[in-house]
Amino acid sequence: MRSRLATAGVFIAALAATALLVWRSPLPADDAFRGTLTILPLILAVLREIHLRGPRPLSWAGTAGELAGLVILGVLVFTRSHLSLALADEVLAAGLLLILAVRVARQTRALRPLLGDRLPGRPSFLFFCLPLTVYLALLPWSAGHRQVDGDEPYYLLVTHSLAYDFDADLTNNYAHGDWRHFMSRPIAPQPGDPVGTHGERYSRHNEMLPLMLVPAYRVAGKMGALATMAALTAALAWLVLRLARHYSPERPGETLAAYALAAFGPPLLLYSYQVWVEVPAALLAALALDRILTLDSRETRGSWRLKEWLGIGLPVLFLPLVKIRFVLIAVPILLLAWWYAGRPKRPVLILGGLLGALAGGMLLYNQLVYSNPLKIHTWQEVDPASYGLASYLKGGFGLFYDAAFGLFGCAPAWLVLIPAVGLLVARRSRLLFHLTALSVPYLAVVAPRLEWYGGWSPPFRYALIALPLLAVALVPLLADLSGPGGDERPGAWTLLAGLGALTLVLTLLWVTVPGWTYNFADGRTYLLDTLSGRLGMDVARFFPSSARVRTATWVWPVVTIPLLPLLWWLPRAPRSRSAAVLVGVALLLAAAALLPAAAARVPSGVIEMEDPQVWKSGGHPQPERWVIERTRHRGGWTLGVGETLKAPVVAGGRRVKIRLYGEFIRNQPVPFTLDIQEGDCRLATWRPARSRVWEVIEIGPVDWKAGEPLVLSAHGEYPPGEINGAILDRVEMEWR
Amino acid sequence: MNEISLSQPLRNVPLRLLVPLGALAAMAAFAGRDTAAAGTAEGLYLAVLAAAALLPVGWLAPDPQMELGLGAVLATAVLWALPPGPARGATVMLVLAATLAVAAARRLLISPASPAVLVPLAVSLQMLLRGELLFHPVLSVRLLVALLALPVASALAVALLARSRGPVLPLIAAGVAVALAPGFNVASTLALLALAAGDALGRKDLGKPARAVALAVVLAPIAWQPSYGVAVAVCGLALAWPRLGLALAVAVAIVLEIVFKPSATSMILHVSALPLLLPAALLPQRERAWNVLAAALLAATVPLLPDLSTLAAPLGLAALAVRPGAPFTVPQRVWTGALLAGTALLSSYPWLRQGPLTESIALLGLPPGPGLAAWVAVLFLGLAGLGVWMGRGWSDPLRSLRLAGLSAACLALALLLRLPATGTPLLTPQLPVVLEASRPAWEAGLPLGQSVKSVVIESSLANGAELPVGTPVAIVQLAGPAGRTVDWTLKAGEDTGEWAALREDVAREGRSAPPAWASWAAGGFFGQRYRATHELDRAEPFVHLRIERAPGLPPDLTVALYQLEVRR
Repeated sequence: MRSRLATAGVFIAALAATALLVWRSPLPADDAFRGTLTILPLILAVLREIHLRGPRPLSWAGTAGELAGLVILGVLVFTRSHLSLALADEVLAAGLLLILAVRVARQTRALRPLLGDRLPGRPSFLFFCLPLTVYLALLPWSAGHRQVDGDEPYYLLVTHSLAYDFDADLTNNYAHGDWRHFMSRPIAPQPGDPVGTHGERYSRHNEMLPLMLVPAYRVAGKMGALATMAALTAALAWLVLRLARHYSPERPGETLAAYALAAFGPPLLLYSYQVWVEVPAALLAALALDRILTLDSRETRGSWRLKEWLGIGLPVLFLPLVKIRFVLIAVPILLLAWWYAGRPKRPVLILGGLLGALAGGMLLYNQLVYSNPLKIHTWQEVDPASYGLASYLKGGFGLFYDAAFGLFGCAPAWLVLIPAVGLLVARRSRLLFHLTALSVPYLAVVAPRLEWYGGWSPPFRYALIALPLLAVALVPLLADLSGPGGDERPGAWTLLAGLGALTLVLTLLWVTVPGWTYNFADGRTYLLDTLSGRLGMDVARFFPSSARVRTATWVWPVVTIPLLPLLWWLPRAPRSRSAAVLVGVALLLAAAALLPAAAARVPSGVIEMEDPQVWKSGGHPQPERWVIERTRHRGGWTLGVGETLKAPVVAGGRRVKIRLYGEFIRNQPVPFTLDIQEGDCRLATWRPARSRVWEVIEIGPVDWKAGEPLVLSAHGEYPPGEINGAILDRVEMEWR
Repeated sequence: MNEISLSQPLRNVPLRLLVPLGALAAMAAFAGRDTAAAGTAEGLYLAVLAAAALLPVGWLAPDPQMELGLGAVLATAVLWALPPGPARGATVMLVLAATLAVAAARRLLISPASPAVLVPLAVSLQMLLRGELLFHPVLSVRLLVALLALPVASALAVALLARSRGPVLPLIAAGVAVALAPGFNVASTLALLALAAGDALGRKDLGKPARAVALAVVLAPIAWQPSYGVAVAVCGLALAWPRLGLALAVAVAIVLEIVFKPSATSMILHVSALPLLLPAALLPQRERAWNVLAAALLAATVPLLPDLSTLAAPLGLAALAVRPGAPFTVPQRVWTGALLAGTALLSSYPWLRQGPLTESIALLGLPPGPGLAAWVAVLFLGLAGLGVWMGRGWSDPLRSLRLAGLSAACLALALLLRLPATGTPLLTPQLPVVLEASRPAWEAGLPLGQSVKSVVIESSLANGAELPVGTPVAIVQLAGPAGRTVDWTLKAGEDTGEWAALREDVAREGRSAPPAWASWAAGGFFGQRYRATHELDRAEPFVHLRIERAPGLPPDLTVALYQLEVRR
């Protein structure tokens, strides 16, 4: 009774403090930390409550340290404007996030006894509360530092229309500028949006997700909608624990570690404060799979109760309503349900019929409204047979390895999936079958597409539905870390420490600068661009990209797929954990040290002209920055008459054969030439004859002096009007 | 000693070294190729500094050395991610200080305050507090003594004290000494050594040879510098024999008063350091009250030559007299820790303050002196009383935790209450505006109706070392909505100064520059920028600010404006 009163008192005080801060914050209205400060009392109260309800108290010294850190950073938040330090907001946000990370790590460990010796059927509510608290704590910062992007604003506009107009007609919403309720940049209808018979504007996105967001949006606007998404994401994280009981029930500790990576690491953490259909889709798929596997463990499998109809039937029917392409997940779920439920005919026939009717109805509706059953897509696009092996490899590897959009690129700790999957294969785990059955039909359609990367979305968008099972896949591997008698796997700990430290740093970066997870599909990332710009060298070439295929795109999978399992399964050694952890961190730092050195020493093979390390006196990127389906275009730089490019070159020999890919743009009937120079020494002059035709200009082999840059300068006349120019895609350098 | 403390320093030693060295390699590799202006010099300095601070942390941190790995990776990430300049330096130092604090706290919770713990702690602390010595270091005996010998000797002294008196009071004494110096200099080290030797002298079981050695150590400071050394020796003797110590302190105080003739004001100021830095000494152990009196007398009369560190011995003596019960030491521990943290951050790059302790105390809004000492003492007594009252219902760890939290909250509140008024920065950090002969003026509109009470200008001069102090270098003008203007001048040597004042050729000329606001690694020396605050008579609305290079200045002189902040 006393503790309940104390809890009530703390929450009342926290609410009062939050209300007071809403009413009269000591920070200005446009301050970056105003929202965070406002919800801080509530976040602290919830964390305290989780701590008190947890089975194991946290150490007082750790709590004191966290509070001391919070106080110091809090004081700095108030003084930062007077210190005039660059990027002070971001640095302090990263500091606060680090304190939150420490708290979450300690709290997650302290919750371990709640899972008992065998994973429970219904994991504690605290495993939902903890991630939700983290997501809500991040919300004010992330929402304040990133405009909703990609499809998000359109989902929110539909939500707004449903909430206030009770319809999906967006005509009035565009006219009134209702986007102002959740963003400051105006939006216009998307290409392919349907237009009604009387000129009504609709969105091509389904209304299912907006319908879920409407109540919270109506109460708290954009923040309410985003909080709903955070709750959905937290529920998905909780389901990882619930799903794991079907595969490794006797491994609660390892499951907790996998849950922590899924819940608190990218990419789920990044999706928690955004509006993407992939999160509810993953939630529905996980719910259905959990119910199917529960049914499998029951003796009376054939008879479906209300729980099965709700737990399997609703997700199967809701998935296409969330997005039509999720019918490719609904069908495998239905088949799995049939298989594990003892092959009953009635439920599967009913659900199959309903699903067929639903999908058919949607296709018909699309045909009527959009004149295309697939809205803006074509049948050829979704036909797996219309793509070659290269497309599958590019998209498939890209979803995992791509530096900009891949799972490993955003959170390298997930690289341990490679040995994990190897272990599942070796053990012929049914998890692998479920993972394949659920995701392969869907990914077979999505991965080879030109837009496999998602399109103005955070990383791993299209494969997010597989994330809960991927997390569960880690459990057997983590169980292999320690052997009998306390022997450890030093290679595994080395790997976990190095990748874990890198993931932590990247997580701090992605959350602190949310916009940096929205890369362009041009083979680069904001992070690698910044590094290349700072070092004046091409750093991006060492990282895989499926948007701009290069050697690293294939080297990384070929090297890591055999190497990581080998490293993981190095022979066990007694008491080797802390040594291995130190080695892992030291190796990470050594790899970081090697990167600038490698950029300065590895010979230049390909120079992409639009890259940041290439100095430009003028011109512009080609295609323009916001072009849709960027991978359809050759990325290049348009160089006009009188303009120059200067690219740093790392010589790989004394002589080089140069191949320049360029397209002449004739705007005036006057001569145009492009000088190709080694520093100040002209090697060749390109005099294009045909306009709008890609040409390959080959030079050499010619002598090349080490240290000299490659200079391309355009010459010609300047008649009135638009001048001539050339799009320069890339230069290949073959050293001899 | 338990198993952990014995095995700890010996386990994985090469690997513990590998992590800081890895950080050094990663930071240096990036800095060496950084194309940003001044990025290489600063990056290499921070790389060396980080490695030097992390190497002892590798020794100090208990298994698993999470803080070592995290600190190394985060410091490296900061160096890679942030642009060169004060922000990057301050963030790296913050990461290093936090890493050391976590490692020290974790280690001290599980191990006694033995040399194995205190030596790496002291060495790492020295690297943070005296980090400027690592800027273009030349390996010399002097450098090794400053960076290694002094902290090691001090750590051994504290370990000796901790063996007989427990860890808390010697650590407070050392913390105060380190904050005063700042770091471990000769004065603070001699003070700690004399106190340790004096403590040994007081032990009845000490053999004659050891007693002779202890006495020699107590008296040795007199040979180093008689005026200060005698006070140090008396402190050591007072620890062994409190009443004799008080008698000697009275005698020494009289002699010092006669020789140095300190004014009553300065004596009050000096003695106020005792309640200001050590409010817990107001509640000493009954048998140690003589020590506090002796410490007060010596603190009042000892000359502050060369700096505040001459107070280390008297204040150390007073610290060892504090009543050791939790309600009395917890607020003192928080206060000493806060002072040490403030000193460490203000004395380190990029702030490099000459008087970091006084500046960190001044953040509370009052200058260090009797007034502030009274406030601190009253607050401390209140907290101690509360601690005693809390002891009735709660266990000791819980009481300590809550008392520490309350003390920290009081401190944070005091800092927040004294914050400057909300301001509007007019320039983007890191993008200075340069006023030169061809472009002599810069102006900006102020937010409509902005009420201005003061203007803060962060600036520096280039080619301005030759200017006499007081030469106007810029004219600042605020214009109101009705056309009323207020203007004043920015003066060389007072409001701003030469950015390269510490460059060898400029420094040799001996031209005076005001204290620097922030510094940056500018090749072989620290570049400086300065900050001046102009207070208006009263707050009133202004709509426009213009700053113009003063006429008649040498043509090559430029004024760089790093920030202009208008405050309400």
